[in-house]
Amino acid sequence: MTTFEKKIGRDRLFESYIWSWGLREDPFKLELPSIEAFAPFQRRDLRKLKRLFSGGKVGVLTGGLGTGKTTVCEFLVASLKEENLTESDPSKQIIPVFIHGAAYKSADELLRAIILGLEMDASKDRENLFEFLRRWPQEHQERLAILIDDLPESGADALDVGEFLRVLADIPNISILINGTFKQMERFLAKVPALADRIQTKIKLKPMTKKNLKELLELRLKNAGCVCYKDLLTPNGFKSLYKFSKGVPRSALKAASNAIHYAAETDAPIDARVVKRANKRSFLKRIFSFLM
Amino acid sequence: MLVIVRKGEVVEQKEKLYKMKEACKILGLHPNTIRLWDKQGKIKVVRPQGGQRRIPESEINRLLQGPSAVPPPPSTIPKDEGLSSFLNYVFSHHRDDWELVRKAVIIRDNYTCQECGGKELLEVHHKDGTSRNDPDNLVTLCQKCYNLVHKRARKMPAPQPITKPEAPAPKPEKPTKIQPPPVPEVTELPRHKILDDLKPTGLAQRTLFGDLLSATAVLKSFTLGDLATRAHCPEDVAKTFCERMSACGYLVSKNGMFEIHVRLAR
Repeated sequence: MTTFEKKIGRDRLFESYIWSWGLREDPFKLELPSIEAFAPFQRRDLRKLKRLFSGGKVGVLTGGLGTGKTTVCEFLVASLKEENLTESDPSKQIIPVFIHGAAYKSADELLRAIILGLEMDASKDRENLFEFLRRWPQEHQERLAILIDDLPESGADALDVGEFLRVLADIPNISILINGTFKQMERFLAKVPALADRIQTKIKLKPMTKKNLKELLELRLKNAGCVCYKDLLTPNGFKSLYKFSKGVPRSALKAASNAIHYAAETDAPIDARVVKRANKRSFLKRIFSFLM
Repeated sequence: MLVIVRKGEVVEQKEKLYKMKEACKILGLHPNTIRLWDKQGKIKVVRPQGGQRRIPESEINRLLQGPSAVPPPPSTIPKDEGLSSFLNYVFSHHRDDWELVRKAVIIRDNYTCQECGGKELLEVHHKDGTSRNDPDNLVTLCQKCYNLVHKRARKMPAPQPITKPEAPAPKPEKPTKIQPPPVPEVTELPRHKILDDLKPTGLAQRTLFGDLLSATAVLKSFTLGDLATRAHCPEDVAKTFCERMSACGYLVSKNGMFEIHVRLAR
């Protein structure tokens, strides 16, 4: 049997396993499958962010690797779009524009990305495009929320981008939310004190507590259609997942995904043994884990 | 009929069996046709020791008798009183199932070519040249008439009503290549131009239409449900979008399916 055939066999095994639990696909995918699958473990912070968008202010979202900064932004964009569907008053609508900051290398490109996010013609010259944003409060009743993911990782000059965002922040009805890892964001803001002064909301995402992680994993299973999720993910399996991930959502989902694949091969529920076997690390990795 | 006589008495009467080559010669058919008819059960063939096909004399006589030698499969013929209800059912519920529609049209036309009255190698033809499966647009023709009609349709620019097959026209001096029908050109437009044409009521609807347009460009051919799922939006918004796109000519609707008819410029 070739490796390919083995793999196909394993995929079929996995498919039949998840079907037997009432699932259609891997429930622990890293991408947010739908707005309902988001576990709002920091409700207070989300409320703060909502207020930020309605007030037209500047906010910063930081946190360690895999703590869910991008997922929070994606959730905000999706929920704002959903609210716009039911809200008929344009003055209460917030138009979200989500930009992956790391992909842009200058303030000019960032400006064009915002215009493209609004589905407008971005082929005009820079002055015209900026004029469109400058006259936003006069010409549009809606508010604009610009969410820039991983801004400090952008290859653009920090001063150039910082100044551009500062000017944008001064325009009424336009709010900006930038996110990145804590250290990188500190370094970025240190270079642009004028922008740092304008920041009104600073949120730092922390790893999840046991309760929050349980809520997240159960919500993912429930959302994927699993009715008896307590039988599929046993309490000791959950404990093992928490211990392994240390409460970081991305690590927890990755470990849970590995575990469900391994559980399909052994046709068993996700318990501590399955989690351990599925996520076993090499001897050296375990020894030097504090270095990684 | 082969008669075996032993000691002046008729011991056994065996039917003469023809080899495939001989049968083909007598019937004027290709061996593959006989094999096909054997598979379809239109002809009875025996396989003596060795497993090769032998065609009994009676079968050859039956086939030589007339055009109706190959009987239609009896199981598929509905009873006369049920025919109209059967046709109604097929054309109202299974219009997209070509095999079923084809069978229904052949049954309706009583297994007869509507041009020459032939009963063999029957095909179903679309009169207007489109793939519209309407009862009035479909007619049963034999292979010969079908080919003749199609040859004529390729030569003529506009579809013509079916006429009786005539003697083949004299060959042209220089054979010209048959040109395929011209494919309508798909225009390439920037996103903002398309969205301007859709006339959204506000910026929120504009961005929503933008998401739907992206989903449309990925799916190419889709139903309303597919589009709504892909763009994560309610079906009524997707419906409004499709209606406006169709009105502008950017979408073509066919049997509940939509097909994009515009290319997004980069």
